[in-house]
Amino acid sequence: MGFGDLKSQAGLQALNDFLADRSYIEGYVPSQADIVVYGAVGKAPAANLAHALRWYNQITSYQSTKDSLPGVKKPVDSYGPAGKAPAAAAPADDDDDDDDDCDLFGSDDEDTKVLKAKRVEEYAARKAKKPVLIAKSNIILDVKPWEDTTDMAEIEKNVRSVAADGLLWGASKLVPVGYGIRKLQISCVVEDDKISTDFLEEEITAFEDLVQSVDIVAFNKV
Amino acid sequence: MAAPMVATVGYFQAVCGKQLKTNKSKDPILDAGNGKKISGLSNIAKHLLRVSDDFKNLSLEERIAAEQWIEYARTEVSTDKEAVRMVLKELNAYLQDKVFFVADRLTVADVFMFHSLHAVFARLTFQEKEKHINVSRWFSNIQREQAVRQNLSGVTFLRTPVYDGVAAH
Repeated sequence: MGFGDLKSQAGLQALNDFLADRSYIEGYVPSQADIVVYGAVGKAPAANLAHALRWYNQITSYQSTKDSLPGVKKPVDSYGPAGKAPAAAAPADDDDDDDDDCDLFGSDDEDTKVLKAKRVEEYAARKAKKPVLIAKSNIILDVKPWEDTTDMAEIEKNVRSVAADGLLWGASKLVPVGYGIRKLQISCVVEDDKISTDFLEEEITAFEDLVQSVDIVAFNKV
Repeated sequence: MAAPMVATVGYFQAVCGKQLKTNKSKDPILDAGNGKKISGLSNIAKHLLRVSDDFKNLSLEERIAAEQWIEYARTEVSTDKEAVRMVLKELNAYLQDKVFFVADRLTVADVFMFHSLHAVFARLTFQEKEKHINVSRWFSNIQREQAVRQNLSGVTFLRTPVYDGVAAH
């Protein structure tokens, strides 16, 4: 719990977020909790932290009666959002760059940095060992002839003559369309990175004397 | 009398320690002493602002601002969808840097506004409540006070934001 260092930008940001839907630090009336946090903040937050500023101004109005407010003072770290506090402000030498101090994961200290680097290395090593998975697809094509007299065996021979790296022709069959016309249904397996469906269609329709059109019937990832 | 009105009357009675009567047209009447009678909720509210010990140390500006918010609650707040949208937007901007409507503490203006907005808030979705986080914060703070809430039901607010982009306001 806690807001972290309330003098830092990150701490004030945490306070601001915390107060977005709250009027006071604890409960629904001003209490010693507010006075403690107020003391820790010290000076009015910047105008862009509207919620923190509103709260600050409100608590300022209780200054004359601050000792009579209800509640018991507790250490400042016991107030605020549940969960891990933002990392305590890093060593005093970087007090100027408070604009990107908002380090939610608290990975500032050296130990975590070393550990993180080690993990990344291990992960990279493991990844290198693993065989690369090649994405493949199973495509079924419909090849339609111009007329019933077209020689289907010739079409099939031509289609199978299309050869490229990453292209493997599979089974085929002739499917009757009607009026004696049959179309060629042929399957193939392609490597996604090397062969595109556009390539297949262009290559097959290149036999324009025989082939009227090419359609993709099915496209499945393997 | 509608529930919010009953609540307002209840609050007024608690503040001035007197029972309010009603006249023929069902308007509440406060007997202010010296034979003076004050009728109408907003008139009684403004009267209380001047005489009640609770609000004695308001400055002139603050008292006038409070009166204006009472008027606002009376005239602008309705349950009409478009009006609700405008009112919430306006109040959300106004309450961005304030805990109460006027000065640094609870006044009649807050109570009056609370009772007027109660019917509106009872129907808002959680997303709308979260979108108007400043009004919601004010509302959930005000409704804790039993003297203010009277017989009205409590409105639920989520403690954990569930929609994006709210904290950025």
